[in-house]
Amino acid sequence: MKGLYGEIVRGLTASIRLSRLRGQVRTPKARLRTRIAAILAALLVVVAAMAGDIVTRLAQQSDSSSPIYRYLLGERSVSLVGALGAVLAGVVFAPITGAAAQAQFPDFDLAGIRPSRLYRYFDGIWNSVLSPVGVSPLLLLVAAASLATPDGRGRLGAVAIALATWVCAMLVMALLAWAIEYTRRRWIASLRWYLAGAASLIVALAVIADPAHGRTIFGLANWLQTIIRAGVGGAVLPVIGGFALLLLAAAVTFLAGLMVCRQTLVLPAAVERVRQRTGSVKVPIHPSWALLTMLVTTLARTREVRRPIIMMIAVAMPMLFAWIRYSGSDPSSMLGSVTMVVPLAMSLGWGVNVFGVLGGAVALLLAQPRAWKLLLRHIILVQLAASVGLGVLLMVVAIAMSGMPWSALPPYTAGLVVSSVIATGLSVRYSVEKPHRTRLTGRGDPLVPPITGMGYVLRIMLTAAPAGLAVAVMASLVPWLAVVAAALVALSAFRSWRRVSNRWNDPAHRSRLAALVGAV
Amino acid sequence: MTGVDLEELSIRYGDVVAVDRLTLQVPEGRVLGGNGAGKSSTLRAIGGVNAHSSGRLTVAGFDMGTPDGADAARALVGYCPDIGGLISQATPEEHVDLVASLRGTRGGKAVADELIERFGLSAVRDRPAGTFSHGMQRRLSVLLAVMTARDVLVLDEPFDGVDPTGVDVTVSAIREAARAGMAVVVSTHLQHLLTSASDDIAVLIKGRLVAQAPAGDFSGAEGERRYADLLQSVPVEAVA
Repeated sequence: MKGLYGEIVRGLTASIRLSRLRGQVRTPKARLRTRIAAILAALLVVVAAMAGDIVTRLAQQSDSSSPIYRYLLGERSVSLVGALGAVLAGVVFAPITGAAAQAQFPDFDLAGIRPSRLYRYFDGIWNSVLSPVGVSPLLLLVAAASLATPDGRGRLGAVAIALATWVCAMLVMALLAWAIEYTRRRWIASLRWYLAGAASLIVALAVIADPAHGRTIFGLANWLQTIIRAGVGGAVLPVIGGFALLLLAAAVTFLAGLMVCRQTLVLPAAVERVRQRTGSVKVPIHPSWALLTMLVTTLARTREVRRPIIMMIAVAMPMLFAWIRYSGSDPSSMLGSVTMVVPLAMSLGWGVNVFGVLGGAVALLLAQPRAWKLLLRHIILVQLAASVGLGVLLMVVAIAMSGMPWSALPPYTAGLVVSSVIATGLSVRYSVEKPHRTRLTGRGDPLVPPITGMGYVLRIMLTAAPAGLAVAVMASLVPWLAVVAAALVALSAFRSWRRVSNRWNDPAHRSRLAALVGAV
Repeated sequence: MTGVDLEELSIRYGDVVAVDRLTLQVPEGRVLGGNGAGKSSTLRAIGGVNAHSSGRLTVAGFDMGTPDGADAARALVGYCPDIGGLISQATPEEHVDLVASLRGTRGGKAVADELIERFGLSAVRDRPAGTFSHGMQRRLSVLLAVMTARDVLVLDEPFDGVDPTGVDVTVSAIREAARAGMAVVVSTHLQHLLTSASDDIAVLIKGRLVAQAPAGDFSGAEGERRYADLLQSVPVEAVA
């Protein structure tokens, strides 16, 4: 253990040193942005911790007997179960999809510095914590703890338990990511896809076999609810005990992760089979169709774009549907989650840095007559069509699975269109106004830097998702109101289009963009 | 004249002046070789990718300062950028078809096959360009420029990392283009290729033209010495 202890110290020191070095090479503007992002993140955590008070006040000002408040508030509410379920799903699937893997294995060239090898373990955790993969679970758990203690009694204990659960979740995610990397290096590089299949199957079987059909997250939610209830009742010892137990679990997971990381790094890096040959697509003769075909082909052939979308359609959403069905939750929440998730996933996988994905191809396209005019329109068209098309497909699956009436489809499709329009508008704006150079190696590289990605997630989620849900609900209840809302959204989309196209029409801006994304 | 005509052309990126009041002419049927700092920015502007900040740029008789003029010129220019310029996920055949479709000049499979064969890319025709070596990527980029050039051919570092066979194909393509009456602009840091492929040579330092002379003046040992002396004799303050 002395050797391991020494390595831990050296690894941690190297990680802190590298973090400082990165801070030193940031431009003043980037440093300011980082500080603002940190302050915003801290504020969001505070707001999440006050979620209980906010919803309680809303309940007092309106009809507090409404079922929505019964669902949201109290230590037996669904908030805690929902948050725990979402966090666990993220912890298991983020390392498999590569969303966390990149954070675990940054490809900086550090040959000149030669830091202790375990720095990668600490660096990976730090990167994950700063990314949407780390911040979203923190916000979810803290908000759920706050909602579980609506009148403030036992709030401190509940938030402490939420923080300890989050620490555990982050360490479990690091352990899983390194375990997957170990299996890739030890056996075959593509093993994680079999692991993803096995994990999905195990979760599905467990949900079916569990008497509560996953409603209690296999007993974990019950245990946390018991502790929080004890805290609300004024008992301190169960809270301290639960907190200590979670920290102990975190410590064990931390050590296990370190050991696996150590064992992994002595093995040579896995060489993932690069697809050398690909079937050629038939490029249409018409210029517009030709460009559209190549954009769709690029989307389908780029792993970093394709993987998250496939994982969402083939794994995450069907699992969520199965959980909602077997847990006896409201089946319309399946359609609601499609309205929220699909446009966001398409934006993050493609739209927010589409020119970064195209890279050097931007210069090729800008050198062709009139292609620059077609390019922006087609990028928008591809994202919008994929978002609405995939969303409707998932909604059809959800309705077929749950036995909901087909009349539920049109209002939620209207909601999906609205959230897709808003998400596409925002993400294309980011892509045009703030392009990022990105080197896509097929290993799950992020399209945008983690902190930037976190900001994008929040902005798209806070605008597109509520608008889409509101239109869907309105279209179900008062159709003419939904038409008014859709008209307002169309007006806003038009304004957004004008702004983006004005920027794109500026040749000097296009020059800068092509030079930036092409230099890879 | 048609060809390429630069008059007091400047290109700035924020506070950085990449090209400073450059005046140059490349008549039809002539090959201008270039080296120095600021050449890629100049070539990107001629290729229709970069906008110029001031001055006048006329390509194939069209004013690149207006959107319509720039689009009309793009249809007549074949441009190979110094880096990138390819769709990583697309095969050579898809590149050829896409570019031809965008220009409305699809000539059928036989034309694409002939070009791919000529540039030695037959063996990799169904492989995505992102899996190519640097030299192979350069060949494909040159192929696309040669294929699309009507009046002007612009090649930025076409020999970079290319094997001798690829160099021969590129040099012969340059010569053919000049014989066909095109204005050809080539930039490379490889001096012997610069002199063998060009009729005239222009040297830019810090975005300013410091010399323009027939290629013969810079060839052989004597020419290399002259070139080296030229680079050393230019005082930094004179061009800063």
